[in-house]
Amino acid sequence: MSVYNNALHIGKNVRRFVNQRTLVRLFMYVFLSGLVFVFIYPFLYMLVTSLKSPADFNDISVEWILNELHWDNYRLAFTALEYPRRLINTLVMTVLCILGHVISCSFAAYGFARFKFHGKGFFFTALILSIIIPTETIIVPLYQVFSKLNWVGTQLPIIVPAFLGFGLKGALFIFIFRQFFLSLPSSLEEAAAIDGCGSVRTFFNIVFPMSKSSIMVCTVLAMVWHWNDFFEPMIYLGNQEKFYLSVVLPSIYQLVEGVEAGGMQETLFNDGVAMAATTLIVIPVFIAYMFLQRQFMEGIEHSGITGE
Amino acid sequence: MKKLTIGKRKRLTGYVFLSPWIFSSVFLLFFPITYSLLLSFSESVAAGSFSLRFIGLEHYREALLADNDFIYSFLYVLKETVVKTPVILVFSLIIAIILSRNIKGRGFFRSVFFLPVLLGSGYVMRQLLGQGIDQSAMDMARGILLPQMLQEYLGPKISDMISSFLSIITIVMWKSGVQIVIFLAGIQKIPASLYESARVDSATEWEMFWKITLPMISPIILLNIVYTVISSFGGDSPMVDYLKYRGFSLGESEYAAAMGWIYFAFVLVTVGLVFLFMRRFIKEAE
Repeated sequence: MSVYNNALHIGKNVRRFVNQRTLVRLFMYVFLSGLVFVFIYPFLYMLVTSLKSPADFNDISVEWILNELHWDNYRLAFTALEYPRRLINTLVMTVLCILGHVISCSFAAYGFARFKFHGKGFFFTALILSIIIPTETIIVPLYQVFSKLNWVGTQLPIIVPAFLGFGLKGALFIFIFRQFFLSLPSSLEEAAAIDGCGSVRTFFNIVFPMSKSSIMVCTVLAMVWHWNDFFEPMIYLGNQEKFYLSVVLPSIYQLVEGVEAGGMQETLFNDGVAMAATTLIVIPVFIAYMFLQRQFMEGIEHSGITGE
Repeated sequence: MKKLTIGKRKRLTGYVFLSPWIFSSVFLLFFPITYSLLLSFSESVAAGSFSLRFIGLEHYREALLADNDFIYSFLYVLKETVVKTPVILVFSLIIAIILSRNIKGRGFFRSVFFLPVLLGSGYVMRQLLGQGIDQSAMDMARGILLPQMLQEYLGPKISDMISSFLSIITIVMWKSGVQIVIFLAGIQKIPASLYESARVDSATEWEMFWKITLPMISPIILLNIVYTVISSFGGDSPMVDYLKYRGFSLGESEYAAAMGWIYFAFVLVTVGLVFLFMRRFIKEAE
C-alpha cells in the first residue's frame, strides 16, 4: 500500500516538474525572440538602407519595404572601397594581431595569475591604468616612439605591439586571461611541476590547451575590434596603398555627408552607398564570428579536463 | 649553477612570464604616461611651439575650479556609469545563462546578440543611424516597442516617459554583447559534474545558480564589472570627446592632459574600490 502511495507521489512530482520545465522553456523562447528584434534592428536598417534607390530615398512613405532592390549601391561601394585589395590588407592584419594578442596576452596573464613577485601590485596597477587610458590621449608620445623606430608608414606599429601584449586593447586581453586563469584549478600544474616540468613548458603544454574558452573570447573580441578600428591605422599607416577597410569607411561617410549637405539627395552617392560599404565590411567578420562561435560551443562540450 | 630556493625561483618565473610585457611597457606605457604627466604641469612658451615652461598645478586648478564643461561632462559620465553598469551586468548574465543551456537555435541567438558589437565598435554604429544612437533608439522604442494605438491611449506624457525608458533599455542591451560573450565562456567552463552531484542531492535550479554558478564565475563577474565601468568611462564617453576637443581641435594639449589625469586617476580609484569590494566574494584558485 505504502509502496503504491509512494509511486503515485513520485509520479505527481514528475508531472509537476515537467510542466514547470515546459513553461520555463516556453517563457525563455518568447523572451529571446522578443529580444532578437531589438538586436537585429540596426542590422536590418543597414541592409534595407543599403538597397534603397535614390527614388525611394525621396519617397517618405518608403521606410522598410522598398520598391526595388538597388544593387548599384553595392557596385559603387565596392569600387570606392577598392574592396578586394583592402580586404586582403585587413585580413592579414587582423589574423596577425589575433595571433599576437592570444599568445602574448595569455603568457603575461599567466605571470599575473599564478606567481608572486616584487612589484606585482605596481605592474598590475599599471596594467589597469593602460586599460583605462584611451589611446587617443597618448597618441603623440606613441607616435614619437614609432617614428624614432622608423616604423611610421608601415604596419609595424599596429602588429608588433600586439605580439608584446600591447596594441589595441592588449591590456584588456591580459586582464581577461588573468581572470580566466584564476578560475582554473591549479592541481594539474602542480602535478606537472612535481613531474619536473618547467613553468614555461607547463604553460604551453597544459594551461594553454586547457583554456580554449578564454582563447575563443579573446579571438572573437580581437577580431572584431581590430577589424573595425580606424584611429591608430589612420595615424600610422600614411600610405593609401596599405589602408584597411575600416580606415576608408570614414572618408566615404564624409563624402556622403558632403554630397547631402550640398542638397543633392538624388545623386548616386547617398546614404545607401554608405550603408552598402558598411555591409561589405561587416559581412566577412559576421561570417567569421558565426563560424567561431560554433567552434566555441564544441570546444566547451569536449573539454572535460577542467573538472576536479 | 646556483641553487635557488623554491620561493625565489617561483618569484623569478613570474618575471619570466612578464618580461616581454615589462620590457615593452617602458616604451609603450611608461614613456607616454610620463610624457603626458609632464605636459599637464606645463604650458608651451609660445603658441604652436614645442618648448615648455613649468607652471605647476595651474591647469589642474583651472579644470577643477573654473571649467564648467569639465565638471558637467564628468558628472554626466559618472551618473551614466552608476545607473547603467548594474543593468548591463544583470541583463548580460541572464542572457548568458539562457544561452548556455541546451536550447534550440542557440547558435542563431548567440550570433544575434553579438550583432551590435560587430557594428558597434569603430565607426559603424555611430554613423549607422544618422541622428546618433540615442535618437534612433528612441524612435525605435516609440514606433515598435510601443505601438501607435497604445501611445494614443496613454497620452503624450506617459508614452514619452515609457519610450525614453525603453530607449535607455535598448541602448543598454546593445552595449552588453561583449559581457554576454565573456559570461558565456565563464559559465561553460564550470564542470558539469558539479551540477550533476547537486542534482543528485535534489538541489533546485535556483539553488544551483546561487551556490554553484555564481561562486564559480566570481572572477569573471569582477572582469565584467571592471570592463563595463572602464568602457563606460572611456572610449566614446562625452568626457573623452571633450578631452579630444580641447586637446586636438583647440590645440590645448597641456590642459587636456591635466583634465585627463584628474579623470583617469578617478577611474583608477573607482576600479580599485571595485577590486577591494569584490575581494570578499571571490574564490581565487591560488
